[in-house]
Amino acid sequence: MRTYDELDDADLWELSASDREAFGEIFRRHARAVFAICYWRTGDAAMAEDVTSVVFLEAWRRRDLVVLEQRSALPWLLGVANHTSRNATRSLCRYTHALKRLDGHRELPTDDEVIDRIDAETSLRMVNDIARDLSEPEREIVLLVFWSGLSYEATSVALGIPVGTVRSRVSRTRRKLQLRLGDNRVTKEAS
Amino acid sequence: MNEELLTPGAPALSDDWIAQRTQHLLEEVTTPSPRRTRRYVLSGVGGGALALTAALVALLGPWATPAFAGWTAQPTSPASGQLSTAETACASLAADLASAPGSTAPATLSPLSLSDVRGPYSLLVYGTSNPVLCVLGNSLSSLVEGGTSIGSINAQAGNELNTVVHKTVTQSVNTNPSPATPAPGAAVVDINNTTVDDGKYFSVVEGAVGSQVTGATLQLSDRTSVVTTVENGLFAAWWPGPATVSSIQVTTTAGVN
Repeated sequence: MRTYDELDDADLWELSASDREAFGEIFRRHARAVFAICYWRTGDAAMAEDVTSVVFLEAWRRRDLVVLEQRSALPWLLGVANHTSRNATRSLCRYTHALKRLDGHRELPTDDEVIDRIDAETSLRMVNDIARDLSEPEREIVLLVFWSGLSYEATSVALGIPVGTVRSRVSRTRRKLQLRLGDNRVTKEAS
Repeated sequence: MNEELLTPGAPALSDDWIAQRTQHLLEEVTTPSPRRTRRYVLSGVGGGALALTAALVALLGPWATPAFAGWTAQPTSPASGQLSTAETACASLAADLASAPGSTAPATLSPLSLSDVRGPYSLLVYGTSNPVLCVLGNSLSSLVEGGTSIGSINAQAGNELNTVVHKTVTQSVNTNPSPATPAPGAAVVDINNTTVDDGKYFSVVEGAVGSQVTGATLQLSDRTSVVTTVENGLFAAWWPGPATVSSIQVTTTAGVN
């Protein structure tokens, strides 16, 4: 018998129809990457935590639509995260009852976590200032390609657009950032 | 200016947080939502609006998006010239698919074995063994041969989506390239695949029917139904969305099964 560790996302996704724990394993694998997108979008750690939960609830609701890229669910999940956190307030309202059931289980952040959050907020504010002139499609490229490190093909799945469009948007976004920064050290993209 | 500045960190999530949220998530996806129960008891004006919405969804299907405007769950009669135009376009798509890198598709199509018309859309089935499926209409054009497809959804003139191989053909389920000959009063699915392009989905099914079958209606996984076209011992239909075939109800010379 195989353990979850031996299964890829495609196997887990198929298995989750009869074994909900398999969906839990997908959450455990990708929650941090999804949270990062939600945090970068909202700039609020507490809100991003709840939006992360909502992303997976929404992913479960839309599971028939999943598109796996090289057997990974991450690109599609980041696409859902991008969309869900862009309309964070409305998304949270939609799952008010589900999130209400978390009350009583939430823990206050420790001192170290508070410091960690302040550092992250400071860093995000500075970057957002640099990226303030970017259009929404260009911001999506920054989030998914530059910061999350998705390949062009994976970003294509995440955004539901052709790879060629991803490529041209990356090029445009990089040009804009380089003009603003005056150097070419703008990304750590994967492809 | 350095790379760290442009890749901001995010607060760390503890293992405890992951475990607690995983538990919450699993409880939510395994417990029926109480909101659904309340919706069922709506009455009066609200209930009427709900019923109207439900009726519209039943008639149009939840995937009757503008990308597939005019699609119907039952076959319709073709407009003048509709099928000949579709055949010309399918032949062109087949030639394009054959010339795509890595494609093993033939450049010429087998004889037409079935045509299914739904409003402005035409589904043409070529051949009977490993058939080629071609769907055309409005801004939709698609030709599927085996696991390869070509075409576009919602293409605009000059758009880069035009006449490119679909990014992916997913969920090729129930594909049975050599289906057993169905019993006289039965139908067997041969191909049921879903194509996604630019975030839009549509699904096509093709199969064989027994000698006594005169009609076949598909029950889909999203609980909608689609009436197929039956011709020359085959049946075929398509629908917007990724739903798959759950069951088939056939009409035979002896009645409904």
